[in-house]
Amino acid sequence: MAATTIETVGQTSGASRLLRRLLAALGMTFLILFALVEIVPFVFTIANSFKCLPAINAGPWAFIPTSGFVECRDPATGSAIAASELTNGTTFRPSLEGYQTVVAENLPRWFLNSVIFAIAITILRLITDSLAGYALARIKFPGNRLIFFIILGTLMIPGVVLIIPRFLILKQLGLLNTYQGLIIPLAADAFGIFLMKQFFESIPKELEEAAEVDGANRFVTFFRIILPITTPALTALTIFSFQGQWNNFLDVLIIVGTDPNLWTLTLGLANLQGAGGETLIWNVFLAGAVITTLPMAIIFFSFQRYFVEGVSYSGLAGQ
Amino acid sequence: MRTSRFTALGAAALAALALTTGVFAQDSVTITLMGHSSSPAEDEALSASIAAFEEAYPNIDVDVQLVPDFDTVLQTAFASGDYPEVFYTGQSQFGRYVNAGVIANGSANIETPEGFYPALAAVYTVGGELYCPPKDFSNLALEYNKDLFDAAGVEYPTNDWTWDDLRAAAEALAASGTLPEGTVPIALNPDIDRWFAFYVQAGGTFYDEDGNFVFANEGANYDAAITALEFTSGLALDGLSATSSDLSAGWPGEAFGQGTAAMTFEGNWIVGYLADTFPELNWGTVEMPAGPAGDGTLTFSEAYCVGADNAHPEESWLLVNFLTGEEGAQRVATGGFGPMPPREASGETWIEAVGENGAAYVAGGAYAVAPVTPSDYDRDGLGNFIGGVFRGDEDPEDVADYAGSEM
Amino acid sequence: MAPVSSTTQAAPGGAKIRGKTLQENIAGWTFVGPAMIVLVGFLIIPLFFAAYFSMTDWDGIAPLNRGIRTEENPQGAYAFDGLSNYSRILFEEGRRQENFFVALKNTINYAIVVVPTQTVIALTLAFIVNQRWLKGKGFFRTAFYFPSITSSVVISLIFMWMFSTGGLVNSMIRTLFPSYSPVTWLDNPDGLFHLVLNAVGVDPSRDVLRICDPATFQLLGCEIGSVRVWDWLSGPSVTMTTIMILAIWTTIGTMMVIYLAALQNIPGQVYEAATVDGCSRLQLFRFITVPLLRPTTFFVITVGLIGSLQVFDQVYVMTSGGPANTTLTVAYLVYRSAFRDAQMGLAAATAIVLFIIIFVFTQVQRRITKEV
Repeated sequence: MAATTIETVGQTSGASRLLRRLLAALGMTFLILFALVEIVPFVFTIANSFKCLPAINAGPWAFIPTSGFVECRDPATGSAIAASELTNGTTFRPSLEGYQTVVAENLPRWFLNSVIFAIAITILRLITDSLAGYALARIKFPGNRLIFFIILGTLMIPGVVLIIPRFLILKQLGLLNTYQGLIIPLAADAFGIFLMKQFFESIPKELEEAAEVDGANRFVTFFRIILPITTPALTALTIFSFQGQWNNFLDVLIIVGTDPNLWTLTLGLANLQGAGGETLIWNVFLAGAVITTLPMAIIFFSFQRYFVEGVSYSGLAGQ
Repeated sequence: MRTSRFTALGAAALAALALTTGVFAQDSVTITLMGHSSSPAEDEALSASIAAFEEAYPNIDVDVQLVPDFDTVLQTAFASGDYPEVFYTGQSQFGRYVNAGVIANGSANIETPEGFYPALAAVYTVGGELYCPPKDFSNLALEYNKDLFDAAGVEYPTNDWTWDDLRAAAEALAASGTLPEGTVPIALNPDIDRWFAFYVQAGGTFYDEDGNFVFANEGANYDAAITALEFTSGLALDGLSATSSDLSAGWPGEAFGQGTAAMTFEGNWIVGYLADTFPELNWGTVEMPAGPAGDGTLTFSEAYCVGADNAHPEESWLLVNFLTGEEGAQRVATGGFGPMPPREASGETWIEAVGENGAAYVAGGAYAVAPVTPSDYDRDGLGNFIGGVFRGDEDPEDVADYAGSEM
Repeated sequence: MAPVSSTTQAAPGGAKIRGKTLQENIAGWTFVGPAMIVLVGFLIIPLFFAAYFSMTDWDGIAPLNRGIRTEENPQGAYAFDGLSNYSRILFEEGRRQENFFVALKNTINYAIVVVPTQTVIALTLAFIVNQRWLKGKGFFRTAFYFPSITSSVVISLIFMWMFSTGGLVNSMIRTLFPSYSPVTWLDNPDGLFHLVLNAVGVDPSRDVLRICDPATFQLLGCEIGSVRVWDWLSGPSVTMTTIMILAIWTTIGTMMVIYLAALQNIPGQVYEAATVDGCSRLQLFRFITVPLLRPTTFFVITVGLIGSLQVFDQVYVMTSGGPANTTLTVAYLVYRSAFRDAQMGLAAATAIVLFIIIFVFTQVQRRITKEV
């Protein structure tokens, strides 16, 4: 909302207007520069995912595809096509070999598992994290501080050392190689609770006090008053949680690693990458990277408008 | 009353017994084989072998689990006490697993223990008893780029090359002025395994008679470690070799494929890689150059091990013997995959399958040594210091002292 | 809830307040309950396991159901070792101690550089993106966030490719400065301060530094925790710097999204009220925006600090701790001991020590940012 004020406030003199323009230009330059730095690597990732293996090695810089897809192997002999025929300067002849290899695997199943897993965990976390975050931010109850410290503490544990103990617990509970086993241990996370707590603390107390005067209890206040105005925070939590689980490797590996039917995209692609010992099959690897990243990009793109919604809600709630 | 009760009980017991044996006869035993994915062709060949096994032994089902980050998954399974009946074991892990008591001794169960390459069998032998039959292996050899040698007018390497020949050829290549800009005679990384390879050629050994790890510890071994490091780092310091990262490649094989190095020292995993990634490359292989102490190369291998806590040891050994027996080795050989079959008898078949460039790798099998370090040896930590010698920042003596000191 | 509210109604005065407190207590515990069950079950209890293992010689492989190794049970998986793992890391001179302190030094260097840098950049970006005059907000938001979407393994591999000696980064610098001699980003153990000294003609030569003699100003060669004083001070290596750039590059997107959400969370009427009271824009930023962002800043810095002190993925994929252990971090050391060196007891002890260090650091940081 700072933006609004900058636009509307201030009896501007000529000099300050010039200063403002200058600042805006500076900000814009900064922004564009950073956006470029962040985007360029992905341009090359996408371009190289459409190449044959020899072409990636011969000309990784080439990023302009020329017309028509090509086969990477001579159909008669089965041997690879030479790089000199595939890439030249900034242009290259695109191929789908990387994507075909990925798709030939159990891709739909992995994709479905990734979706189920990420959505289930995200929904559960939205509930558990925001409830806990609210309690820690606003409700005074014995153990409040202690619990906050414990939650903060769990963030500080180096994850690698928990691999074996977690595996033992899940084995005791009979949850290995099940969907529940994958979802329950991740149904709440310290990062999310901490995030929500900090957000709730930045909301002025007056809103709840007003509700309390009206006789609403904590549950009503939380669901009716507080939750609707925290859309930006919930959006952020949704995105972080979904993204984290979409890319989660270690937990998935340990809990369902031995049952390929429960593998997620990350795990399946990691297995593809394992092929060939020292050598990374770049076109397959990059095609896999594009396929796993794309859904996340779409989700982020479609969710991000909710970042602005919180403001209008808060305007209403204040009346 | 009493008798009748007993009779009834006896009858029930008999019936139960009949039922169980019946179940045994019909029902199958399932054993798990855990490993990691290799090349798609190898994975397919494995499933074919397993199918053949299941046909030969209809009462045994094999559940093949090829998992990513295999070592971590397997270690976790070990720790829980509930782990696969049969699993791959890399040579660097073998000692750890034996110490932890999770590997069954195979000496009484391996059908044909003869015929494996001696160096391979030695890796998986403890106290004179072979624990796990080797699955397949790779050796280091010298790869060279024929076009770059032709252009420089330098003779191709031969199998009886020595260090001096290697260095002389590298100097000739550099002096010829025919190497394109950014191309060096040799791609060589300052990694611990290349040090080990030249160490062996300089007369160093890894274990003494009592089984103590003696790399670079004292006397001849200490000298060999320094000689090896001086020779390899000398190549780097004189501009005759460069690391893969200097050559903008992920590993030396990639630099070699890109033609930015005329020679490199890799294992047979490079054969399939070059054919796929650099089909134009005109290259050849010879055995590793001989050092002051003669021939030497390194071998890297995996084995099939059977778990110690195992409800179906007999069935497990049936499977392992099926996969690693003479026929099993022959199947690996005809597939012509990256790694070579573990039995000497199948070497020729493998060369036929992969082409003449395979010969140098197979030849190395006769004298190769496995660079197995003790279970808690700080390999990564040590490997991190060799680069300093290649840059001239560290003395070979200091790194050898560090390596020879107790970890 | 029902019995509670009836109490509240029945009892007047003090009892009513007590009823209210009870109601709050029940609400509080109900709210945190589900999350706590998960965290205790799958994080806290495993932590106790780890603490237990840290006092044993367990290798991390031997099946635990074989029990404790004793005279009667020689097959046992582990034996108690007291605090000897801790002592090997912290007090006994030798390679284990050296590894730990080198890793600690690297980790602290990393956190000191990464946390402030990413926080400042993220806040700046969020602030600009939040300006109303900005066109194409969605594009920028996505562009900045994009690197965070991709898994760290993929990003690390792409970075390795970009930062290779003849790679994109070096070619671009060479285009701008033709006299530039390529830096080997991924394989250069020289510390930054070391390079700066070299550049001004001082060579803290290795031989001089090996001598430890405080009287002749050769203190830099003395060792603290098996690591030379100069190595403590020479700054992050070039390769470590590359990893820092990668970390900052990936994290600013996440941090920016958090700041953006926080900026959006500040109700408009707060500003309106302040404006009516005649605050200038600068005052608005100083007295309204910054204080209201304080919980968020606290969050961003705390999470950033904890994440930095646990940096693992990039090291795992890109360098394995090399060159010359200059990118060895404590979290990677834990992994290396546990899954490479078969030293689970030592790994667990290292992890517990790291846990304590992180705890101390966050407490210090809390004091500094004066939160709560």
